[in-house]
Amino acid sequence: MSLEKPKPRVAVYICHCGKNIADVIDMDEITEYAKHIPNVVSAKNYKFMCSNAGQDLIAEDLKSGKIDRVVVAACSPLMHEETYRRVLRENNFNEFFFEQANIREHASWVNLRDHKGAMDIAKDHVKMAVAKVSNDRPLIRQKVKVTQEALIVGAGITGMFAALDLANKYKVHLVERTPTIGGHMAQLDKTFPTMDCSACITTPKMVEVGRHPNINLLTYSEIENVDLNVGNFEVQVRKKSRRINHLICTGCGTCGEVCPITVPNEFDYNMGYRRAAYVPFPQAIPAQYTIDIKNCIECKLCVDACEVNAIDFNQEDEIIDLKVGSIIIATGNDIFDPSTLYCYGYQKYKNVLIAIEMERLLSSTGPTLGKVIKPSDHKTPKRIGFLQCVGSRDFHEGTHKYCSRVCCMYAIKQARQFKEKYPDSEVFIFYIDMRTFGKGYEEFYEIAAREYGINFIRGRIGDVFENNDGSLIIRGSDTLLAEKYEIEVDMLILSTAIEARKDADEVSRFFGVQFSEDGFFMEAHPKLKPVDSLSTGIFIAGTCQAPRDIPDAVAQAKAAASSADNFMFSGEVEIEPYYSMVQPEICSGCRSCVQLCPYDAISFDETTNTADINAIKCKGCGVCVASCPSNAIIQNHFTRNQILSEVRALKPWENYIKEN
Amino acid sequence: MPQNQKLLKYSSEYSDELSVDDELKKIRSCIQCGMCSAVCPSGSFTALVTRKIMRKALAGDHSVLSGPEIWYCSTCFNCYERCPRTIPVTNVILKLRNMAVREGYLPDALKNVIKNLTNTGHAVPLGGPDSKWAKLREYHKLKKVPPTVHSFPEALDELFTLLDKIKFNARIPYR
Repeated sequence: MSLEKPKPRVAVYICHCGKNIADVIDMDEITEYAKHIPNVVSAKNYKFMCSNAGQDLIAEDLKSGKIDRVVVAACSPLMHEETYRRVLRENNFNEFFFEQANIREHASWVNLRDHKGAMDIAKDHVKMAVAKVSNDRPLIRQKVKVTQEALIVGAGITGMFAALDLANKYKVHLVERTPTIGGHMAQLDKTFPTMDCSACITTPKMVEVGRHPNINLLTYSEIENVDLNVGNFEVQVRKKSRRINHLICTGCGTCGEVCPITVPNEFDYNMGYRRAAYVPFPQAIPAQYTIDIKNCIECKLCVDACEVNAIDFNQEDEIIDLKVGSIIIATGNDIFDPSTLYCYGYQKYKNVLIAIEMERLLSSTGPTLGKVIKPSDHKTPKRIGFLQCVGSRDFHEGTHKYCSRVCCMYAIKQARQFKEKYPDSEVFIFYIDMRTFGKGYEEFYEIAAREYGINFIRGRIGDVFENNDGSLIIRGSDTLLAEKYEIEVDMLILSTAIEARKDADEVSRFFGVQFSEDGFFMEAHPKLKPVDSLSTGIFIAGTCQAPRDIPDAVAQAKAAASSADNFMFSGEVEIEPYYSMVQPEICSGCRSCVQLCPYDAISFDETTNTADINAIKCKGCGVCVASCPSNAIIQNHFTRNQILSEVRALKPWENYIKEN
Repeated sequence: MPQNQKLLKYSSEYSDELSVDDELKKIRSCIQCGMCSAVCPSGSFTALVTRKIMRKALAGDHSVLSGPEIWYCSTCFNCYERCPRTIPVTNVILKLRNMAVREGYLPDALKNVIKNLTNTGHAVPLGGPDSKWAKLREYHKLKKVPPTVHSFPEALDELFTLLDKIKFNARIPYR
């Protein structure tokens, strides 16, 4: 019996991809070339390798016993790696004896006019893949049990819907930073395009969330720490002290009545006032008072007033440890602050407001109980203007390139509401493009123009000036007529952009989710994985991912809940075996990898004085491998030997070795 | 800003008319797509841009009435057929002409037509017994002067009766 390692027998399959590859690269030439690469025993080409017939081609060869490793030269492995691995798996071969050479994206598509160049690149890719697959080692996917509980971060409309969908099957922990659930939607008066009352459709859902036996509601709480064990995330939540015992508090409101401190109410976007002992709004869930310790002067009038003795100034923050199988991030958005755009005069002129402030003025539960007044003289305005795209579609520092999607619709909605309340008024909307994309939105816009007589004027206004009486002069150009105009209005509302949360980087650090260029969280695939993050078991939904309206946010919430259910349901998760391993006999204990690991997967064993990598937490990024000064770390499927074999397969490298 | 600078004014001058008249009201649905102008045969040769007419009318800009553009329309109804928002563009232009006349704006050429009508009872008159039209009639063995108001000048009074009935004189003073 020979102890020599058996020689790998590689089969190369070259895919035409219809005409995507075959039009640029000569199939016969490259097949002939592949036959002469060392270790290759057969090379074939076929029109669509990913088709059933193409897969059967591989399966037959595997069954014949003549080959034991497979290279497919086709599209990106992101597209079809799993397809071909399954073929190996089903034929009782280790699925990691497979490599995919991407000759579509890397060779044919980028060299449509240079057929020879494309051929050279394709040959190199095939050669490298053969070298790699010859050195591949069999690997086994580990399976990990998944905890049957979920964590949802953020209890706006997205978080609430995701929680309700999941709670019928799993225990759900819903963490919310503010004292109440409901999010931005609870602040709105009406919703477009149906004009139904926002509170009337939100509050029943809030009550449902509050009462659901499977939802553990953690309001006034923040994430303290997360241990990213896939399938068994360990999360610490800090439940901030409300200084009021929630088991006893009846929400009667006596403490708020006696409290002598008034501060601007965040819920009314600082337009109205609240006490230091408060509920943000009457329908808040949970209906419990909170003492805002930042503004409290500890006069303790409330302690004497409270009939059930629920107030406890010694109450401390509580740390709650959770273990969950999946996480949905629904942290929502912030609103753009236009005070840096000085030409519009926000916070300089009294009668320039932002849309959320107008929303609170229009709201029957707002600071003016639904009466729209000018901040300058508290009289009702006769002529108002809305300026669109404030902070959106703008390339300046601090503004945003993207379209915020909802501003066109909320401006039309507010304009219609205003016109309904004050039919004699005149309303102008200054827009660049009206983007009314959703179901029933265009009709909503058309009716606003035709029935309500709202004036739509195209062109971004350039300057706003204030008159002595507080009214405003707007100067702009009607770009449809190419003529300048000046209009006097009593009030100007800025339709401000939706932007990513200012502390989104903290969330990103906790959960290992990535950012897109625009500051929002990045989905795993813009079309096919819209609610998956790049971390397994963590999903993103709602406006933390991109600006979107309520129907889209709810749809995403349901999609994320379904994805999380799908992830937890089987009870097990397979871990990709690409993790890194430390060879303890070589490790010098320098700890440089421990600090560099972005996933906190490396611990240091003080007794043996070596580093240790947690295979479940490791994402296989390779940072530790590159940083190790003693080459003690091996990354599965990307070992030194495997990577160097690929590099050596390239001709320039051979020449380089010969020359030196 | 200097006072003489040309500035567009948005006024609610026509807002009553816009909300009462069903056809004029429809221009509020205009999305300025420009299809009406694209198919306008007159617009290919004149300053008529129907899209701008719609926009100016909506903005309440007075120049739409005082300017000559609305009179360049040949009422071919191409725009009427194609408008995606089903705005009756041609009818709107006709109504704007009505409004323009009411405000006293009328192109000189049309003033001449009215002068002809009120003087001779014909928008295109014969032009006297020695005109080429008269000679042409003679060649075809017709009476030199047709048996119309040209032959019976007293019938002109009937025309004035009709014109008075529709208060034509109040809008366009002709005598």
